[in-house]
Amino acid sequence: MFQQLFVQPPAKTFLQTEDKTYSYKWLQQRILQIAGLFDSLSLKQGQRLVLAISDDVEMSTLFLAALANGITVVVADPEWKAARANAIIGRSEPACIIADKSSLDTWKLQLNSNCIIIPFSKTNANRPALLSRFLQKNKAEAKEDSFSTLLEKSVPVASLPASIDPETIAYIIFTSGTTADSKGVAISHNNLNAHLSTLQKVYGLTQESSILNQLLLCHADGCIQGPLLSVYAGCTWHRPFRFTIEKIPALLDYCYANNVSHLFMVPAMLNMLIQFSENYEDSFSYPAFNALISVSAHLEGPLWDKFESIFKVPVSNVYGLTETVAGSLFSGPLQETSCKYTVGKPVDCEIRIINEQGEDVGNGTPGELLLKGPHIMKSYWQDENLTNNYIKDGWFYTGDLAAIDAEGFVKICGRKKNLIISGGINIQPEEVTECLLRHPSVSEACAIGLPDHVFGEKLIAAIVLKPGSNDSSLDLVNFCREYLEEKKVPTKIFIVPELPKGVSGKVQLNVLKEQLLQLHPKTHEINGEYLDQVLNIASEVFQVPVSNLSVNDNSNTVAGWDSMAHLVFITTLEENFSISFSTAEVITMNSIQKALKLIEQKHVPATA
Amino acid sequence: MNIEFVLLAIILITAPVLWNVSRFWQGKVMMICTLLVFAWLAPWSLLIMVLTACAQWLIWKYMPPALKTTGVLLTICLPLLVLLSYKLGHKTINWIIPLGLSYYTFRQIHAAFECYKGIIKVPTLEEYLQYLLFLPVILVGPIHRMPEFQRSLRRLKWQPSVFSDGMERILYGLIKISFLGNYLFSVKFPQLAEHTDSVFIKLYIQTIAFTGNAYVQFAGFSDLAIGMGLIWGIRVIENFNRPFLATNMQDFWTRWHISLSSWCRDYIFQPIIALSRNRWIALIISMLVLSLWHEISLRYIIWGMVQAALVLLTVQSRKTFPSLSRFVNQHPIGKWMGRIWVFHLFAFSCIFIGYENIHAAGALFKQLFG
Repeated sequence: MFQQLFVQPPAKTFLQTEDKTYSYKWLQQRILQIAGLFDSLSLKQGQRLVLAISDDVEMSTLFLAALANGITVVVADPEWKAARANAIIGRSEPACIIADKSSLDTWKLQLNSNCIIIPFSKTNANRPALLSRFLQKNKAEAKEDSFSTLLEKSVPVASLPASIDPETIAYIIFTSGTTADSKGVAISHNNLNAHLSTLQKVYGLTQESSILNQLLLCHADGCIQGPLLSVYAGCTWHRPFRFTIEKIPALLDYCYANNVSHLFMVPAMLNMLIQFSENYEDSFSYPAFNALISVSAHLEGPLWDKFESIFKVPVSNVYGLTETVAGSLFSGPLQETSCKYTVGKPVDCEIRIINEQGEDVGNGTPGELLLKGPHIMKSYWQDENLTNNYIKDGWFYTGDLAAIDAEGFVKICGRKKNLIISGGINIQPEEVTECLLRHPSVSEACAIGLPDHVFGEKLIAAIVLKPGSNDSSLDLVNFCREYLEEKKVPTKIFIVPELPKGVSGKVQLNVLKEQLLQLHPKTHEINGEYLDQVLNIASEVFQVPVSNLSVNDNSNTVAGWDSMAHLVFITTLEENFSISFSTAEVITMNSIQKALKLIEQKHVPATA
Repeated sequence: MNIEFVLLAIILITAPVLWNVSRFWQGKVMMICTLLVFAWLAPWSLLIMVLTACAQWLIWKYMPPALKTTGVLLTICLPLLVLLSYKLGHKTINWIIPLGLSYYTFRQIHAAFECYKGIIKVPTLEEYLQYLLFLPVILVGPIHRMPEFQRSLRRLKWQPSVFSDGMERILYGLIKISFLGNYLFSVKFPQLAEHTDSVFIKLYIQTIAFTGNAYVQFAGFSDLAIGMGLIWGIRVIENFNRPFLATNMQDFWTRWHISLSSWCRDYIFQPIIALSRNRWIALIISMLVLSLWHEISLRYIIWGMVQAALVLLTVQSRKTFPSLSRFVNQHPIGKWMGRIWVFHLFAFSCIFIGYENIHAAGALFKQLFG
């Protein structure tokens, strides 16, 4: 994969952040310098290097440098809590750890004495400003930064190893799970190279391409389909800023201004983009734009339709797992694999769909999806039994239920395994349950996912308190924060008298789900009754068929919504809902969505 | 030499600099260019413009939230006072050269309203000055909007097609001004009028030539401004959308001087309608402001009221004669009849502003229809 790296024109951009450009020449020199550091630390091919760095530039360059030297990267999340970090890092038996200083302080790792631990301080990762350098203000702090100091001292190597055994483990990513059963997915160089080649082909990447991928680098879709894929294809990777709601307009403008050709998003991000799409509908209407790729989670049909109708750009849907490097089945961008509401067709791999008896099922019948190909992981790290359970005769058992149609397009129908995917993040509910059961007041606990129109699923937990305990759900949420990463903390914890159980004593998840759906308020959902009424009024006032109107319409998109009709619309809404709008509200209400929000705030239904 | 051509030359000279500096400097280069040009052409205007902008910004930044309404009133009144003091007393304070002051003031009021409504975040002083001091539109409009400008600045990139679009627009603008305006409507039409003995036809040709010339000159200068903006990579609001293809007067006012009419819609019509719930009052006051923006005089007040009456009649006739309205708006023949009607209504209404005083306009109407 490093063939492209050293043949790129030196000035060509490897990475573009919001305010800084890193060239391929810079990357080449950086990798040779880091290789010098690895030499000085006597790190050998196949030895494990744990990386837990929140600085994206340093994380990606260290990852690339380790791959180039055949050192196995153990990808760690700097946000891990101490118990998880100790368990996982201990299991990976690392020769070296480079991690954020703050993470190391929290983790207090108990490892064997041969492991080298190098703290990384983000503030000193980049050179200080000219004035500060002149005044030597940062001198004292820089000395404390072991990584920077060691790197400065190391002598760059002249060249990288000529070859790396393709069966060497390139990296290990640990999946979500309880402390005991978290699975380490070990991907070999062979797996990685085979899949990067597939991704380059499927996405049509050339050296002129520009990838924007803001997903977390400690997850496969972030690191593989970001820096690794960019270097493999010899193109530019954009990482302007972390994705937040406030930054959506800036992100869309960034894509336009920088001719981003491939944009990677999870469905929850697509949903948020839609909510802030007003006046940004033309964000992808430039010749260089090639593909918008949805990864990491199930892409719902209505979201797919809505996004494409607003932004006028086809969305590609990728199905894959950490165990398959990144993808396996692709709906688009290739025309021959493109089919809406499906995950498309397998590329460079074979599939089977089998029933409980292990027999292949016919078209249209759901069964477990099996995958076979050069990109399927080598093994689960140091767990032969687990590997043999999941990989049989070369077929990887995904645990996902799928059905295939007559034309070969595959649709995911559900999940055999117990997993929650919230905003593209995989959460093993057992990990959350285990954490809750650690609380001294909790006698029983169960974490489940409830459907959510923004995040796909929302993590919810139900617990039974021990007699005499009076902890609140807020206390329990705070307790979870101590032991779990923020994304794994339940959004709501319900205290219930008992959990529904079957005869075997196991919690009946479906019954519990039904019960919690009754208790859990539907958030962020537009009241369907109001929407229908508002659309009917708009249709009548603006003289537009109601079928042509939607919640996304505004005064620019509806032909008859002029200033005269605006008053009639306002007064009709006021009369219909027995409310009145203030001057400021009348002035700013220029879309159906804004009208709905105000009505929901003001209107008290007669039955209430 | 027309000052717009001086600006055109400056913009063309600056373009290579702009496209060769980093993104960080691009907005700054545009602003510095305007500051230099104004410091050379009209230093006092520049001082007053920048001072009012700074005062507005300080109010946004430091006015306590409890005094939000006072703040918005101050930020609207401050630039308005400067404009009014010029419009009403320009003969006495002749040392101020109010280059583009009417446009500038309306941009300031737009920003004040939007900050009040919370539609936009309070800009930094630099962002605000970059918006106000955008050279291509500073003298002849359009009254472009801050969110669109800032967004255009964020999306700024070198695109040969946009640059050539800009050059094309400038060419169209020059043709409109020089050939259609200065030659066809100013020279050829009066010559044509001399060939007839009919007073009515003579005056009719004069009226048509006046309206035609007003349109091509104004649209031509708007083309120049939009073209210059495109050379710098910034797309600004269109000011005209083929106004004489409008089939009724309400439609006409969504196509003629769009940046001003939409400004009046957003900052006069809508607030008044929100307060009074009476669209006729809102319409009359909007048209009054629209006409006074051009010039504070009786002839413009009458012209504005005539426009208000024509729009009012259009809206009312849609209710009273729905089948006629449908014919005019939907049938091909009806559409053309509507267009001819709109053109003549507007042309004759312009007689009020085509003469120095209202008596001269009255005399012409008498000769035409008496």
